Amino acid sequence: MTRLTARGLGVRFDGVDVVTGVDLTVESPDWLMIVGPNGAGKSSLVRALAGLLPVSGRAAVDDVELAGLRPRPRARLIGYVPQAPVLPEAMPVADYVMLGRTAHLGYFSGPRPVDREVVGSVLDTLELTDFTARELGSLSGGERQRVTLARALAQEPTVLLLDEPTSALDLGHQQQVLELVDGLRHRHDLVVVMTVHDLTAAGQYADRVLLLDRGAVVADGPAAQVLTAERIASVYHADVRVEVDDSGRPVVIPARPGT
Amino acid sequence: MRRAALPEHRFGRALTLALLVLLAALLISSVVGAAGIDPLSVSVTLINELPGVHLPHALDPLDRTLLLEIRLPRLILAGLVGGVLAVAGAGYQGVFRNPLVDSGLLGASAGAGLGATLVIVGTGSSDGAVVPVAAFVGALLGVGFAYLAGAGRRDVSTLLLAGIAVSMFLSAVQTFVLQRSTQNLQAVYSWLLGSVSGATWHRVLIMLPYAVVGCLGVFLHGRHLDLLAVGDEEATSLGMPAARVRLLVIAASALAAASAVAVSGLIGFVGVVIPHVARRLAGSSYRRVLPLSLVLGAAFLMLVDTVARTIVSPGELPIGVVTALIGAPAFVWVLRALRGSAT
Ligand SMILES: Nc1ncnc2c1ncn2[C@@H]1O[C@H](COP(=O)(O)OP(=O)(O)OP(=O)(O)O)[C@@H](O)[C@H]1O
Ligand SMILES: [Mg+2]
Repeated sequence: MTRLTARGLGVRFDGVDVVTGVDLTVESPDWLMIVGPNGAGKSSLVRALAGLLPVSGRAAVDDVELAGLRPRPRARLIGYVPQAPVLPEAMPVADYVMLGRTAHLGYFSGPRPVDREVVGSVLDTLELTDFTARELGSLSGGERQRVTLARALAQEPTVLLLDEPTSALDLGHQQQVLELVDGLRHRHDLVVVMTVHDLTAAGQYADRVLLLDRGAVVADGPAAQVLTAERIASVYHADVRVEVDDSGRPVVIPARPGT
Repeated sequence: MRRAALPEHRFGRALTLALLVLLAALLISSVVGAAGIDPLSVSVTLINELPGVHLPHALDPLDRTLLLEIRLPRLILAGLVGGVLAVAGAGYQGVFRNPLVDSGLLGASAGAGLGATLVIVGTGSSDGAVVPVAAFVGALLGVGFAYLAGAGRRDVSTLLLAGIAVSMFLSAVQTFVLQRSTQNLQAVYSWLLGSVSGATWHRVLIMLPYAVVGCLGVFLHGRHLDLLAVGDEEATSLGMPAARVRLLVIAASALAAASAVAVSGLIGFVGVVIPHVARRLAGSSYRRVLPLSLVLGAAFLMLVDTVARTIVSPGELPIGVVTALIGAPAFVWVLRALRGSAT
C-alpha cells in the first residue's frame, strides 16, 4: 500500500499565498479528485505534491519527505501530467513517451528492450500505436493529452498526479481514459490525484472529492457530501441542480439562472 | 493514415551519406592544390602508410612529404575544427532550446578574441605557441563569466542574455586595446577571421585531447538534451536534474569550442548551420544530430579550407570569409532542397 500525505501544505508566489494549509491523506488504490474554480490553486497544489515547487508544510509518500528527494527517485515514485505540457513540435510520439523511462535508465545508458516493451504496451493501452512515428506538432489536442498521459504511465509510478488530463477529450475518450486510470489504480495499487472541471465526472469516478477555493480546502469527503447544489452555487457562482444516480453518486446539471 | 519513415532508418541512411561525403572531402582536399598530384597516387600513398603495404604508383618522396607533412595535418585540423564546432553548437542549441545559438555566443568567441589580441599586441606577433593558449583560456573564461552572471535563474534566456552582455563587454575591451596599438591591427584581424594555415601534426595533437573530452561530454548527453526540450520543470519531474545537466553540457561544449578556437581563430556559421542540416536529414533528436554534426562539420570545413587555400592561389583567403561566402548560399540551397522531405 502507498500513502500520499500533506500537512499544512502551502504555496506562495511573489509574496501571495495561492495554496494555504492543505491537509490530505490518500491511500492506494484511492482516487482523489480536486475541483474548484479557475485560479483556486488546483494546479499549484498538484505541482507541490509532485515536489516541483518550494512549499511550506510537508508532503510525503509513505515516510519519504518529497522535499528531500532527488529528481530520479522522486520520478520513480510520482508520475505527473501537467495541465499545459511542453510538447517539442518535431519529436516523434515514441521518443516522447520514452522520456517517461528516464528515471529507470542509468545516467549514460540508452533505452533497454524492457523500456521499449513498457512504451509499446502503454501506447497500445492508450490506442496510440498508429501514432508512434508522428511528430507531436501534428497531433490534435486530444491526441496530445493522451500522449502526455502515456508518458506518465511509462514512468510506472505508484502515485499518479493528473492535472486536467481530460480537458480536451471527447466524451468517448474521456470515458476511456477515466476507465483506464480506474483499472490501473486497482491493478497496480496506485494513488491517483486528479484535477478536473467536469463535476459529474469527478463525482462518478472519485472515492473522494476535495473542493478548493482561493487556495483553501472548502470541503473534502465523499462526492455526494461535497458536491451539493448550495456549495457549488456559493463557490462557483453557478446555478445547478444535483441529482443522485442509482449508485448514490451525484450528477451535476447546469441550469439557466432563474429557471 | 500517413506514416513517416522511422527515425532510426533515416538516421542510418543519413549517417552513411555523411560518411561518404567525408571520405570524398578527404580525397578531394588532399588532391587539390598548388602541386598537382593525382588522386590515384594520393590514395596509394595513404594506403602505403599502413604497415606492411607496398603498392606501386606511390608519390615521389617530395610530393609524399608535401602530402603527409603539410597537406594532411592541415586537412585533419580543418576537419577536427569543423566537427568540434558543429558538435559544440548543437550542444548549446540543446541547452538553450534555441536552434540559432552558436558555439561562440556564450562568451567563447569574444573571450578567445580578447586573449589572442592581448598576446598579439603584447608580443607584437601572431606566431608562436602563446596565442592559441591565450585564446583557449580566454574562451573558457568568457563562458565562465557568462555562466556566473546568468545562471541560477529559472529561465535559460537570462543565461543567454548574460552571454551576449559578457561578449559585448569583452569585445569592447578588445577594441580598446586594439585602438591603442594600431600597428597590430593586421595581425589581429587575420587571426580573428580564422585560418588553419599553420597546421602541423603537433597542433593536431595538442588540440585533440580537449576536443575529444569536450565532444564526448556533449555526446554522452544526447538523451538529456532531448529531455531538456520539455522544459526544466517537466524534465525534473521525469527524473533529470535539469540545472546540473545544463552546466555539464555547457562546460563540455565550451571546452570543445575553446579547443577549436585556439587553433583556428573565429569561425562562425558552422556551429549553427551544420546541426541544422543534420536535423533536416535525420530528425531533431540529439542522439542523432550530434554524431551527424560531427561528420558533416568535418567534411564541410575540409572543403571550405581547400577553397580558402586554392581560390586565390598562391595567396589564401581567411577560412571565416570562405565559410560565409560559399557556406551561406550552400545553406540556402540545402534548406530549400530538404524542405518537406524531412517532416
Ligand atoms: N508562477 C506564478 N506566479 C504568480 N502567480 C501564480 C503563479 N502560478 C500561479 N499563480 C496564481 O496562483 C493562483 C492559482 O493558480 P493555479 O494554476 O493553481 O489555479 P488552478 O486552480 O489550477 O486554475 P485553473 O482551473 O484555471 O487551471 C492563480 O491566481 C494564479 O494566477
Ligand atoms: Mg490549473
